[in-house]
Amino acid sequence: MKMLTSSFAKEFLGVRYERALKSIMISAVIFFGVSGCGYRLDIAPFILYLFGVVFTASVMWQSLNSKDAEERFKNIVMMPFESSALIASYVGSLGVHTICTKTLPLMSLLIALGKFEVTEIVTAAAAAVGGVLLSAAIYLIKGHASKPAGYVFYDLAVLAGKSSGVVKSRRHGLVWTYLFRYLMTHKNYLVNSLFLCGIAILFPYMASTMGEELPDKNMFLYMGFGIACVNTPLCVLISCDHDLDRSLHSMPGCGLKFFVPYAGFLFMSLCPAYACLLTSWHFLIGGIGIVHIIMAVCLAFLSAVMSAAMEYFFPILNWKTESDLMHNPRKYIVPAITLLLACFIGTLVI
Amino acid sequence: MKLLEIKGLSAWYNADKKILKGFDLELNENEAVGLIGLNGAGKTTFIKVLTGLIKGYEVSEKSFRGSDLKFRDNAFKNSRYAVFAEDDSFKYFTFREYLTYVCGAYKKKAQGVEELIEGFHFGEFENTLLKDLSTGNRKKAFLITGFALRPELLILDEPVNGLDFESTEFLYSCIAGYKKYGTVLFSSHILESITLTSDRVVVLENGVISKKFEGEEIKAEAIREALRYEDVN
Repeated sequence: MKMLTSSFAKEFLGVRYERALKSIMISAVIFFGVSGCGYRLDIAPFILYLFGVVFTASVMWQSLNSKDAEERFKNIVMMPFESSALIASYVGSLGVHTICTKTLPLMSLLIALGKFEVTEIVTAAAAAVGGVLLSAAIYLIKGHASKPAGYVFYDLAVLAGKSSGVVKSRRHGLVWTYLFRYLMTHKNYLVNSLFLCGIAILFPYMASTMGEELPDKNMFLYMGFGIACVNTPLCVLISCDHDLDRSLHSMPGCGLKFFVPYAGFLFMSLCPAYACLLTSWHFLIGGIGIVHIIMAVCLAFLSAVMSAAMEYFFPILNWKTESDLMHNPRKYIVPAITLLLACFIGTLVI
Repeated sequence: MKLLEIKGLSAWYNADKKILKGFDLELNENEAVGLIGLNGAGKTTFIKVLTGLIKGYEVSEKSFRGSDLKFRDNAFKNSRYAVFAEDDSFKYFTFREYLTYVCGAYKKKAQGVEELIEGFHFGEFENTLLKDLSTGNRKKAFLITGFALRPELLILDEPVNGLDFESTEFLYSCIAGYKKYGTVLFSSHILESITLTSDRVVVLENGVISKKFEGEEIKAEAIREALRYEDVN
Protein backbone atom coordinates (compact mmCIF):
# COMPACT_ATOMS: atom_id res chain seq x y z
CA MET A 1 0.00 0.00 0.00
CA LYS A 2 2.79 2.40 0.99
CA MET A 3 4.78 1.50 -2.11
CA LEU A 4 1.71 1.87 -4.34
CA THR A 5 0.84 5.27 -2.90
CA SER A 6 4.43 6.39 -3.26
CA SER A 7 4.64 5.32 -6.91
CA PHE A 8 1.34 7.03 -7.80
CA ALA A 9 2.27 10.17 -5.84
CA LYS A 10 5.68 10.42 -7.50
CA GLU A 11 4.05 9.99 -10.90
CA PHE A 12 1.65 12.86 -10.21
CA LEU A 13 3.76 15.17 -8.09
CA GLY A 14 7.30 14.50 -9.30
CA VAL A 15 10.06 12.29 -7.92
CA ARG A 16 10.76 14.67 -5.02
CA TYR A 17 7.19 15.97 -4.85
CA GLU A 18 8.56 19.16 -6.38
CA ARG A 19 5.31 19.97 -8.17
CA ALA A 20 3.43 20.04 -4.87
CA LEU A 21 6.07 22.28 -3.28
CA LYS A 22 6.03 24.59 -6.30
CA SER A 23 2.26 24.85 -6.13
CA ILE A 24 2.31 25.56 -2.38
CA MET A 25 4.86 28.31 -2.94
CA ILE A 26 2.78 29.84 -5.73
CA SER A 27 -0.27 29.74 -3.46
CA ALA A 28 1.69 31.45 -0.68
CA VAL A 29 2.82 34.18 -3.09
CA ILE A 30 -0.78 34.67 -4.27
CA PHE A 31 -2.08 34.78 -0.70
CA PHE A 32 0.48 37.21 0.69
CA GLY A 33 0.56 39.28 -2.52
CA VAL A 34 -3.20 39.79 -2.64
CA SER A 35 -3.69 40.25 1.12
CA GLY A 36 -0.81 42.75 1.09
CA CYS A 37 -2.72 44.88 -1.42
CA GLY A 38 -5.41 45.38 1.19
CA TYR A 39 -8.27 44.90 -1.29
CA ARG A 40 -11.13 42.95 0.29
CA LEU A 41 -14.45 41.60 -0.96
CA ASP A 42 -17.45 40.35 0.98
CA ILE A 43 -17.45 36.66 0.16
CA ALA A 44 -19.85 34.42 2.05
CA PRO A 45 -18.20 31.33 3.57
CA PHE A 46 -20.73 29.26 1.64
CA ILE A 47 -19.07 30.39 -1.63
CA LEU A 48 -15.72 29.16 -0.34
CA TYR A 49 -17.19 25.78 0.63
CA LEU A 50 -19.05 25.50 -2.67
CA PHE A 51 -15.89 26.33 -4.56
CA GLY A 52 -13.97 23.72 -2.56
CA VAL A 53 -16.43 20.97 -3.40
CA VAL A 54 -17.46 21.82 -6.97
CA PHE A 55 -14.10 22.89 -8.35
CA THR A 56 -12.15 20.04 -6.77
CA ALA A 57 -14.77 17.48 -7.74
CA SER A 58 -14.84 18.65 -11.36
CA VAL A 59 -11.04 18.62 -11.74
CA MET A 60 -10.89 15.21 -10.05
CA TRP A 61 -13.61 13.92 -12.35
CA GLN A 62 -11.68 15.14 -15.37
CA SER A 63 -8.51 13.42 -14.15
CA LEU A 64 -10.31 10.15 -13.43
CA ASN A 65 -11.79 10.15 -16.91
CA SER A 66 -8.61 11.08 -18.76
CA LYS A 67 -7.27 8.52 -21.18
CA ASP A 68 -3.65 9.13 -20.23
CA ALA A 69 -4.24 7.39 -16.89
CA GLU A 70 -4.91 4.14 -18.68
CA GLU A 71 -1.67 4.36 -20.68
CA ARG A 72 0.54 5.48 -17.82
CA PHE A 73 -0.63 3.05 -15.22
CA LYS A 74 -1.14 -0.10 -17.20
CA ASN A 75 2.01 -1.65 -15.78
CA ILE A 76 0.87 -1.08 -12.21
CA VAL A 77 -2.65 -2.13 -13.00
CA MET A 78 -1.65 -5.48 -14.52
CA MET A 79 0.13 -6.52 -11.32
CA PRO A 80 -1.75 -8.51 -8.69
CA PHE A 81 -2.32 -5.74 -6.17
CA GLU A 82 -5.32 -5.85 -3.91
CA SER A 83 -8.20 -3.90 -5.47
CA SER A 84 -9.06 -1.79 -2.42
CA ALA A 85 -5.39 -0.86 -1.88
CA LEU A 86 -5.00 0.09 -5.53
CA ILE A 87 -8.13 2.25 -5.53
CA ALA A 88 -7.25 3.94 -2.22
CA SER A 89 -3.68 4.72 -3.33
CA TYR A 90 -4.75 5.99 -6.74
CA VAL A 91 -7.62 8.14 -5.43
CA GLY A 92 -5.47 9.42 -2.54
CA SER A 93 -2.55 10.42 -4.77
CA LEU A 94 -4.72 11.92 -7.46
CA GLY A 95 -6.71 13.76 -4.79
CA VAL A 96 -3.57 15.27 -3.25
CA HIS A 97 -2.40 16.26 -6.73
CA THR A 98 -5.76 17.88 -7.52
CA ILE A 99 -5.99 19.79 -4.23
CA CYS A 100 -2.34 20.87 -4.17
CA THR A 101 -1.89 21.92 -7.78
CA LYS A 102 -5.39 23.03 -8.79
CA THR A 103 -7.59 23.93 -5.81
CA LEU A 104 -5.00 25.44 -3.48
CA PRO A 105 -3.83 28.35 -5.71
CA LEU A 106 -7.38 29.48 -6.43
CA MET A 107 -8.57 28.92 -2.89
CA SER A 108 -5.65 30.97 -1.54
CA LEU A 109 -6.80 33.81 -3.82
CA LEU A 110 -10.36 33.58 -2.46
CA ILE A 111 -9.11 33.42 1.13
CA ALA A 112 -6.85 36.43 0.55
CA LEU A 113 -9.71 38.43 -0.95
CA GLY A 114 -12.31 37.52 1.68
CA LYS A 115 -12.43 37.79 5.45
CA PHE A 116 -12.59 34.25 6.78
CA GLU A 117 -12.23 32.65 10.19
CA VAL A 118 -9.78 29.77 10.65
CA THR A 119 -12.68 27.36 11.17
CA GLU A 120 -14.19 28.45 7.85
CA ILE A 121 -10.89 27.86 6.06
CA VAL A 122 -10.58 24.41 7.65
CA THR A 123 -14.18 23.64 6.58
CA ALA A 124 -13.35 24.74 3.02
CA ALA A 125 -10.32 22.43 3.01
CA ALA A 126 -12.55 19.60 4.21
CA ALA A 127 -15.01 20.49 1.44
CA ALA A 128 -12.19 20.10 -1.10
CA VAL A 129 -11.36 16.66 0.29
CA GLY A 130 -15.08 15.90 0.08
CA GLY A 131 -15.01 16.93 -3.59
CA VAL A 132 -12.23 14.40 -4.25
CA LEU A 133 -14.14 11.62 -2.51
CA LEU A 134 -17.41 12.57 -4.18
CA SER A 135 -15.95 12.29 -7.69
CA ALA A 136 -14.16 9.05 -6.87
CA ALA A 137 -17.32 7.56 -5.39
CA ILE A 138 -19.50 8.53 -8.37
CA TYR A 139 -16.85 7.23 -10.74
CA LEU A 140 -16.72 3.86 -9.01
CA ILE A 141 -20.47 3.53 -8.57
CA LYS A 142 -21.04 4.48 -12.20
CA GLY A 143 -20.34 1.03 -13.56
CA HIS A 144 -16.91 0.29 -12.19
CA ALA A 145 -17.57 -0.81 -8.62
CA SER A 146 -18.21 -4.45 -9.36
CA LYS A 147 -14.96 -4.90 -11.28
CA PRO A 148 -11.37 -5.30 -10.12
CA ALA A 149 -9.78 -1.90 -9.68
CA GLY A 150 -7.38 -2.50 -12.52
CA TYR A 151 -10.15 -2.61 -15.03
CA VAL A 152 -11.32 0.84 -14.00
CA PHE A 153 -8.60 2.27 -16.21
CA TYR A 154 -9.00 -0.19 -19.03
CA ASP A 155 -12.71 0.54 -19.15
CA LEU A 156 -11.93 4.05 -20.27
CA ALA A 157 -10.42 2.80 -23.48
CA VAL A 158 -13.29 0.41 -24.08
CA LEU A 159 -15.87 3.13 -23.49
CA ALA A 160 -14.06 5.53 -25.80
CA GLY A 161 -14.05 3.01 -28.63
CA LYS A 162 -17.58 1.68 -28.18
CA SER A 163 -19.39 4.12 -30.39
CA SER A 164 -17.08 3.85 -33.38
CA GLY A 165 -16.95 0.77 -35.59
CA VAL A 166 -17.04 1.10 -39.36
CA VAL A 167 -17.87 4.49 -40.80
CA LYS A 168 -18.34 5.78 -44.30
CA SER A 169 -15.65 7.92 -45.86
CA ARG A 170 -16.35 11.43 -47.03
CA ARG A 171 -14.21 13.19 -49.51
CA HIS A 172 -15.04 16.75 -48.54
CA GLY A 173 -14.75 18.60 -45.27
CA LEU A 174 -12.48 15.89 -43.91
CA VAL A 175 -11.02 17.99 -41.12
CA TRP A 176 -14.50 19.14 -40.09
CA THR A 177 -15.54 15.50 -39.87
CA TYR A 178 -12.42 14.80 -37.83
CA LEU A 179 -13.12 17.65 -35.42
CA PHE A 180 -16.78 16.74 -35.10
CA ARG A 181 -15.82 13.15 -34.24
CA TYR A 182 -13.32 14.47 -31.69
CA LEU A 183 -16.12 16.40 -30.00
CA MET A 184 -18.60 13.52 -30.18
CA THR A 185 -16.08 11.02 -28.80
CA HIS A 186 -15.42 13.24 -25.79
CA LYS A 187 -18.93 13.86 -24.53
CA ASN A 188 -17.53 15.73 -21.52
CA TYR A 189 -16.11 18.34 -23.91
CA LEU A 190 -19.60 18.80 -25.30
CA VAL A 191 -20.94 19.19 -21.76
CA ASN A 192 -18.16 21.70 -21.07
CA SER A 193 -19.28 23.76 -24.10
CA LEU A 194 -22.88 23.69 -22.82
CA PHE A 195 -21.62 24.68 -19.37
CA LEU A 196 -19.94 27.72 -20.95
CA CYS A 197 -23.27 28.66 -22.52
CA GLY A 198 -24.82 28.38 -19.04
CA ILE A 199 -22.19 30.72 -17.62
CA ALA A 200 -22.81 33.11 -20.51
CA ILE A 201 -26.53 33.15 -19.63
CA LEU A 202 -25.87 33.74 -15.91
CA PHE A 203 -23.24 36.40 -16.40
CA PRO A 204 -25.66 39.29 -17.23
CA TYR A 205 -27.60 38.37 -14.09
CA MET A 206 -24.45 38.99 -12.06
CA ALA A 207 -23.97 42.26 -13.89
CA SER A 208 -27.53 43.33 -13.09
CA THR A 209 -27.01 42.66 -9.37
CA MET A 210 -23.42 43.85 -8.95
CA GLY A 211 -22.95 46.17 -11.86
CA GLU A 212 -23.95 49.30 -9.96
CA GLU A 213 -20.73 49.06 -7.97
CA LEU A 214 -18.78 49.41 -11.20
CA PRO A 215 -18.44 52.71 -13.05
CA ASP A 216 -19.10 51.03 -16.43
CA LYS A 217 -21.62 48.21 -16.60
CA ASN A 218 -20.46 47.34 -20.12
CA MET A 219 -17.26 46.15 -18.49
CA PHE A 220 -19.21 43.08 -17.44
CA LEU A 221 -20.19 42.44 -21.04
CA TYR A 222 -16.54 42.63 -22.10
CA MET A 223 -15.59 40.28 -19.29
CA GLY A 224 -18.30 37.96 -20.54
CA PHE A 225 -16.72 37.97 -24.01
CA GLY A 226 -13.43 37.00 -22.39
CA ILE A 227 -14.87 34.26 -20.18
CA ALA A 228 -17.08 32.73 -22.89
CA CYS A 229 -14.04 31.87 -24.98
CA VAL A 230 -12.33 29.77 -22.27
CA ASN A 231 -13.29 26.51 -23.98
CA THR A 232 -10.11 24.71 -22.98
CA PRO A 233 -10.82 21.14 -24.20
CA LEU A 234 -11.46 22.32 -27.74
CA CYS A 235 -8.48 24.67 -27.67
CA VAL A 236 -5.93 21.93 -26.85
CA LEU A 237 -6.65 19.58 -29.73
CA ILE A 238 -3.01 19.48 -30.89
CA SER A 239 -1.45 19.77 -27.43
CA CYS A 240 -3.28 16.68 -26.23
CA ASP A 241 -2.13 14.63 -29.23
CA HIS A 242 1.66 14.61 -29.68
CA ASP A 243 1.46 12.34 -32.71
CA LEU A 244 -0.97 14.69 -34.43
CA ASP A 245 1.39 17.58 -33.75
CA ARG A 246 4.27 15.57 -35.26
CA SER A 247 2.26 14.66 -38.35
CA LEU A 248 0.99 18.19 -38.92
CA HIS A 249 4.53 19.54 -38.78
CA SER A 250 6.12 16.82 -40.87
CA MET A 251 3.71 16.85 -43.81
CA PRO A 252 3.54 19.59 -46.43
CA GLY A 253 0.55 21.89 -46.63
CA CYS A 254 -0.94 20.39 -43.50
CA GLY A 255 -0.69 23.62 -41.58
CA LEU A 256 -3.21 25.56 -43.62
CA LYS A 257 -5.31 22.51 -44.44
CA PHE A 258 -5.79 21.82 -40.75
CA PHE A 259 -5.49 25.32 -39.32
CA VAL A 260 -8.33 26.93 -41.32
CA PRO A 261 -11.01 24.31 -40.52
CA TYR A 262 -9.81 24.15 -36.92
CA ALA A 263 -10.15 27.91 -36.52
CA GLY A 264 -13.57 27.66 -38.19
CA PHE A 265 -14.58 24.88 -35.82
CA LEU A 266 -13.52 26.92 -32.80
CA PHE A 267 -15.43 29.92 -34.16
CA MET A 268 -18.58 27.81 -34.57
CA SER A 269 -18.19 26.47 -31.03
CA LEU A 270 -17.75 29.98 -29.58
CA CYS A 271 -20.76 31.46 -31.37
CA PRO A 272 -23.44 29.71 -29.22
CA ALA A 273 -21.81 30.97 -25.99
CA TYR A 274 -21.60 34.52 -27.35
CA ALA A 275 -25.20 34.30 -28.59
CA CYS A 276 -26.30 33.17 -25.11
CA LEU A 277 -24.42 36.05 -23.53
CA LEU A 278 -25.92 38.69 -25.82
CA THR A 279 -29.47 37.27 -25.61
CA SER A 280 -29.37 37.02 -21.83
CA TRP A 281 -27.88 40.51 -21.59
CA HIS A 282 -30.58 41.91 -23.85
CA PHE A 283 -33.42 40.47 -21.74
CA LEU A 284 -31.92 41.26 -18.33
CA ILE A 285 -30.18 44.58 -18.95
CA GLY A 286 -31.10 45.61 -22.49
CA GLY A 287 -29.37 47.81 -25.00
CA ILE A 288 -27.92 45.13 -27.28
CA GLY A 289 -27.79 46.43 -30.83
CA ILE A 290 -26.24 45.53 -34.14
CA VAL A 291 -22.90 47.00 -33.00
CA HIS A 292 -22.74 44.51 -30.13
CA ILE A 293 -23.57 41.62 -32.44
CA ILE A 294 -20.88 42.61 -34.95
CA MET A 295 -18.45 43.09 -32.08
CA ALA A 296 -19.27 39.62 -30.72
CA VAL A 297 -18.80 37.99 -34.13
CA CYS A 298 -15.47 39.77 -34.64
CA LEU A 299 -14.26 38.83 -31.16
CA ALA A 300 -15.34 35.20 -31.58
CA PHE A 301 -13.52 35.09 -34.91
CA LEU A 302 -10.33 36.65 -33.54
CA SER A 303 -10.43 34.46 -30.47
CA ALA A 304 -10.84 31.33 -32.62
CA VAL A 305 -7.95 32.31 -34.91
CA MET A 306 -5.71 33.15 -31.94
CA SER A 307 -6.54 29.86 -30.19
CA ALA A 308 -5.90 27.82 -33.36
CA ALA A 309 -2.63 29.68 -33.99
CA MET A 310 -1.56 29.17 -30.39
CA GLU A 311 -2.20 25.44 -30.76
CA TYR A 312 -0.43 25.11 -34.08
CA PHE A 313 2.62 27.22 -33.30
CA PHE A 314 2.94 26.83 -29.53
CA PRO A 315 1.36 23.55 -28.48
CA ILE A 316 1.78 22.55 -24.84
CA LEU A 317 3.87 19.39 -25.01
CA ASN A 318 5.39 19.07 -21.55
CA TRP A 319 2.27 18.12 -19.59
CA LYS A 320 2.18 15.19 -17.21
CA THR A 321 -1.51 14.59 -16.67
CA GLU A 322 -4.46 15.65 -18.79
CA SER A 323 -5.56 17.81 -15.88
CA ASP A 324 -2.28 19.77 -16.12
CA LEU A 325 -2.96 20.38 -19.78
CA MET A 326 -6.51 21.57 -19.12
CA HIS A 327 -5.33 23.94 -16.38
CA ASN A 328 -2.19 25.26 -18.06
CA PRO A 329 -2.04 29.06 -17.61
CA ARG A 330 -1.76 29.41 -21.41
CA LYS A 331 -5.53 29.01 -21.59
CA TYR A 332 -5.98 32.50 -20.14
CA ILE A 333 -3.89 34.26 -22.79
CA VAL A 334 -6.54 34.32 -25.53
CA PRO A 335 -9.38 35.28 -23.14
CA ALA A 336 -7.20 38.07 -21.72
CA ILE A 337 -6.44 39.39 -25.21
CA THR A 338 -10.13 39.06 -26.12
CA LEU A 339 -11.08 41.03 -23.00
CA LEU A 340 -8.57 43.77 -23.85
CA LEU A 341 -9.79 43.88 -27.45
CA ALA A 342 -13.39 44.05 -26.25
CA CYS A 343 -12.53 46.96 -23.94
CA PHE A 344 -10.65 48.72 -26.72
CA ILE A 345 -13.38 48.23 -29.35
CA GLY A 346 -16.05 49.01 -26.75
CA THR A 347 -14.53 52.37 -25.85
CA LEU A 348 -14.28 53.24 -29.53
CA VAL A 349 -17.75 52.27 -30.75
CA ILE A 350 -20.12 51.95 -27.75
CA MET B 1 22.65 10.30 -59.20
CA LYS B 2 22.65 11.67 -55.67
CA LEU B 3 19.28 12.33 -54.14
CA LEU B 4 20.30 13.51 -50.70
CA GLU B 5 23.61 14.40 -49.14
CA ILE B 6 24.22 15.23 -45.51
CA LYS B 7 27.61 15.90 -43.95
CA GLY B 8 28.62 16.60 -40.37
CA LEU B 9 25.16 16.40 -38.85
CA SER B 10 24.94 16.77 -35.10
CA ALA B 11 21.57 16.67 -33.36
CA TRP B 12 20.39 16.90 -29.78
CA TYR B 13 17.32 17.13 -27.60
CA ASN B 14 19.33 18.72 -24.77
CA ALA B 15 22.25 20.84 -25.89
CA ASP B 16 24.60 19.12 -23.44
CA LYS B 17 24.00 15.64 -24.87
CA LYS B 18 24.40 15.14 -28.60
CA ILE B 19 22.66 12.13 -30.09
CA LEU B 20 24.11 12.47 -33.60
CA LYS B 21 27.76 13.49 -33.69
CA GLY B 22 29.07 14.32 -37.14
CA PHE B 23 26.74 12.01 -39.06
CA ASP B 24 27.36 11.71 -42.84
CA LEU B 25 24.96 10.06 -45.27
CA GLU B 26 24.42 10.02 -49.00
CA LEU B 27 21.32 8.59 -50.63
CA ASN B 28 21.16 7.87 -54.34
CA GLU B 29 18.09 7.89 -56.50
CA ASN B 30 16.10 4.68 -56.67
CA GLU B 31 17.78 2.64 -54.00
CA ALA B 32 16.83 1.02 -50.72
CA VAL B 33 19.05 1.93 -47.79
CA GLY B 34 18.82 0.18 -44.45
CA LEU B 35 19.80 1.94 -41.25
CA ILE B 36 20.70 -0.39 -38.43
CA GLY B 37 22.02 0.17 -34.95
CA LEU B 38 21.48 -0.69 -31.33
CA ASN B 39 18.91 1.09 -29.19
CA GLY B 40 19.89 4.70 -28.64
CA ALA B 41 22.27 4.77 -31.62
CA GLY B 42 20.36 7.70 -33.14
CA LYS B 43 18.27 6.10 -35.92
CA THR B 44 14.98 7.70 -34.94
CA THR B 45 16.71 10.98 -34.14
CA PHE B 46 18.10 11.10 -37.67
CA ILE B 47 14.63 10.42 -39.08
CA LYS B 48 13.22 13.17 -36.91
CA VAL B 49 15.84 15.60 -38.22
CA LEU B 50 14.99 14.61 -41.81
CA THR B 51 11.31 15.21 -41.14
CA GLY B 52 11.98 18.62 -39.61
CA LEU B 53 10.85 17.65 -36.13
CA ILE B 54 14.03 18.52 -34.25
CA LYS B 55 15.16 22.09 -33.84
CA GLY B 56 18.44 21.26 -32.13
CA TYR B 57 20.82 20.34 -34.91
CA GLU B 58 23.75 21.66 -36.91
CA VAL B 59 25.06 20.43 -40.22
CA SER B 60 28.03 21.43 -42.33
CA GLU B 61 26.56 20.44 -45.72
CA LYS B 62 23.15 19.31 -46.86
CA SER B 63 21.59 19.07 -50.29
CA PHE B 64 18.64 17.46 -52.00
CA ARG B 65 18.93 16.87 -55.74
CA GLY B 66 21.99 19.14 -55.71
CA SER B 67 20.14 22.11 -54.22
CA ASP B 68 20.38 23.42 -50.68
CA LEU B 69 18.18 21.37 -48.40
CA LYS B 70 15.94 22.86 -45.75
CA PHE B 71 14.27 20.17 -43.68
CA ARG B 72 11.18 22.27 -42.97
CA ASP B 73 10.71 23.63 -46.48
CA ASN B 74 7.51 22.60 -48.21
CA ALA B 75 9.52 21.74 -51.34
CA PHE B 76 11.41 19.04 -49.41
CA LYS B 77 8.36 18.01 -47.42
CA ASN B 78 6.55 17.39 -50.73
CA SER B 79 9.33 15.03 -51.78
CA ARG B 80 9.25 12.76 -48.76
CA TYR B 81 6.81 10.91 -46.57
CA ALA B 82 7.66 9.29 -43.24
CA VAL B 83 6.08 6.33 -41.50
CA PHE B 84 6.97 6.57 -37.84
CA ALA B 85 7.61 3.61 -35.55
CA GLU B 86 4.59 4.51 -33.45
CA ASP B 87 1.92 6.79 -34.76
CA ASP B 88 -1.39 7.57 -33.14
CA SER B 89 -2.14 10.68 -35.17
CA PHE B 90 -5.34 11.48 -37.06
CA LYS B 91 -7.14 8.92 -34.97
CA TYR B 92 -10.60 10.19 -35.87
CA PHE B 93 -10.01 9.57 -39.59
CA THR B 94 -10.64 6.27 -41.32
CA PHE B 95 -7.81 4.98 -43.49
CA ARG B 96 -9.63 6.18 -46.64
CA GLU B 97 -10.14 9.62 -45.16
CA TYR B 98 -6.53 9.79 -44.04
CA LEU B 99 -5.33 8.78 -47.50
CA THR B 100 -7.53 11.44 -49.13
CA TYR B 101 -6.29 14.03 -46.64
CA VAL B 102 -2.62 13.17 -47.21
CA CYS B 103 -3.04 13.13 -51.00
CA GLY B 104 -4.58 16.59 -50.70
CA ALA B 105 -1.67 17.78 -48.57
CA TYR B 106 0.91 16.41 -51.02
CA LYS B 107 -1.21 17.38 -54.05
CA LYS B 108 -0.70 13.87 -55.41
CA LYS B 109 -2.88 10.99 -56.50
CA ALA B 110 -2.53 7.71 -54.62
CA GLN B 111 -1.49 4.82 -56.84
CA GLY B 112 -1.77 1.08 -56.51
CA VAL B 113 -3.89 1.39 -53.37
CA GLU B 114 -6.05 -1.67 -54.02
CA GLU B 115 -3.01 -3.93 -54.52
CA LEU B 116 -1.45 -2.60 -51.35
CA ILE B 117 -4.65 -3.12 -49.37
CA GLU B 118 -4.89 -6.65 -50.65
CA GLY B 119 -1.22 -7.38 -49.99
CA PHE B 120 -1.42 -6.12 -46.42
CA HIS B 121 -4.80 -7.86 -45.86
CA PHE B 122 -6.28 -4.55 -44.88
CA GLY B 123 -9.57 -4.68 -46.82
CA GLU B 124 -11.94 -5.02 -43.90
CA PHE B 125 -10.37 -2.12 -41.97
CA GLU B 126 -10.24 0.61 -44.58
CA ASN B 127 -13.37 2.32 -43.27
CA THR B 128 -12.62 1.88 -39.58
CA LEU B 129 -11.44 4.84 -37.54
CA LEU B 130 -7.67 4.70 -37.01
CA LYS B 131 -8.16 4.91 -33.24
CA ASP B 132 -10.04 1.62 -33.33
CA LEU B 133 -7.34 -0.27 -35.25
CA SER B 134 -4.77 -2.51 -33.59
CA THR B 135 -1.14 -1.33 -33.56
CA GLY B 136 -0.30 -3.55 -36.53
CA ASN B 137 -3.26 -2.45 -38.62
CA ARG B 138 -2.58 1.20 -37.85
CA LYS B 139 0.99 0.66 -39.04
CA LYS B 140 -0.39 -0.90 -42.23
CA ALA B 141 -2.59 2.17 -42.82
CA PHE B 142 0.46 4.47 -42.73
CA LEU B 143 2.60 2.07 -44.78
CA ILE B 144 -0.05 1.76 -47.51
CA THR B 145 -0.34 5.56 -47.57
CA GLY B 146 3.44 5.92 -47.92
CA PHE B 147 3.78 3.39 -50.71
CA ALA B 148 0.68 4.67 -52.53
CA LEU B 149 1.90 8.25 -52.39
CA ARG B 150 5.15 7.28 -54.10
CA PRO B 151 7.31 10.14 -52.83
CA GLU B 152 10.86 10.53 -54.08
CA LEU B 153 12.09 9.65 -50.61
CA LEU B 154 10.12 7.24 -48.47
CA ILE B 155 11.30 7.11 -44.86
CA LEU B 156 10.28 4.15 -42.73
CA ASP B 157 11.13 4.00 -39.04
CA GLU B 158 11.00 0.41 -37.77
CA PRO B 159 8.43 -0.58 -40.42
CA VAL B 160 8.36 -4.26 -39.42
CA ASN B 161 7.31 -3.63 -35.81
CA GLY B 162 3.78 -4.82 -35.15
CA LEU B 163 3.27 -6.52 -38.52
CA ASP B 164 2.21 -10.14 -38.85
CA PHE B 165 4.27 -12.67 -40.80
CA GLU B 166 2.38 -12.33 -44.10
CA SER B 167 2.34 -8.55 -44.02
CA THR B 168 6.07 -8.52 -43.22
CA GLU B 169 6.76 -10.61 -46.31
CA PHE B 170 4.62 -8.27 -48.37
CA LEU B 171 6.40 -5.26 -46.89
CA TYR B 172 9.75 -6.69 -48.00
CA SER B 173 8.47 -7.00 -51.55
CA CYS B 174 7.14 -3.44 -51.40
CA ILE B 175 10.49 -2.07 -50.23
CA ALA B 176 12.39 -4.06 -52.82
CA GLY B 177 9.95 -2.98 -55.56
CA TYR B 178 9.87 0.67 -54.54
CA LYS B 179 13.14 1.38 -56.35
CA LYS B 180 11.07 1.84 -59.52
CA TYR B 181 9.50 4.95 -57.98
CA GLY B 182 12.08 6.39 -55.62
CA THR B 183 14.40 5.84 -52.68
CA VAL B 184 13.54 4.10 -49.45
CA LEU B 185 15.42 4.81 -46.26
CA PHE B 186 14.38 2.56 -43.44
CA SER B 187 15.56 1.78 -39.95
CA SER B 188 15.17 -1.64 -38.46
CA HIS B 189 16.27 -3.93 -35.69
CA ILE B 190 15.43 -6.97 -37.76
CA LEU B 191 18.49 -8.12 -39.68
CA GLU B 192 16.40 -10.12 -42.12
CA SER B 193 14.47 -7.05 -43.21
CA ILE B 194 17.73 -5.29 -43.99
CA THR B 195 19.49 -8.15 -45.77
CA LEU B 196 16.50 -9.06 -47.91
CA THR B 197 15.70 -5.61 -49.20
CA SER B 198 18.63 -3.19 -48.99
CA ASP B 199 21.07 -2.12 -51.67
CA ARG B 200 23.14 -0.50 -48.98
CA VAL B 201 23.28 -0.88 -45.21
CA VAL B 202 24.68 1.69 -42.82
CA VAL B 203 25.45 0.80 -39.23
CA LEU B 204 24.86 3.62 -36.82
CA GLU B 205 26.90 3.64 -33.63
CA ASN B 206 26.79 6.34 -30.97
CA GLY B 207 25.57 8.96 -33.40
CA VAL B 208 28.00 8.29 -36.25
CA ILE B 209 28.08 5.80 -39.10
CA SER B 210 30.56 3.16 -38.08
CA LYS B 211 30.28 0.74 -41.01
CA LYS B 212 28.73 0.47 -44.46
CA PHE B 213 27.79 -2.59 -46.49
CA GLU B 214 26.96 -2.67 -50.15
CA GLY B 215 25.77 -5.28 -52.67
CA GLU B 216 27.41 -8.63 -52.00
CA GLU B 217 28.75 -7.47 -48.65
CA ILE B 218 25.24 -7.39 -47.21
CA LYS B 219 25.16 -10.59 -45.26
CA ALA B 220 23.46 -11.16 -41.94
CA GLU B 221 26.59 -12.58 -40.35
CA ALA B 222 28.75 -9.60 -41.31
CA ILE B 223 26.21 -7.09 -40.04
CA ARG B 224 25.66 -9.08 -36.85
CA GLU B 225 29.41 -9.04 -36.33
CA ALA B 226 29.50 -5.26 -36.81
CA LEU B 227 26.71 -4.82 -34.28
CA ARG B 228 28.40 -7.16 -31.84
CA TYR B 229 31.61 -5.16 -32.17
CA GLU B 230 29.56 -2.04 -31.52
CA ASP B 231 28.11 -3.64 -28.39
CA VAL B 232 31.60 -4.44 -27.08
CA ASN B 233 32.71 -0.83 -27.63
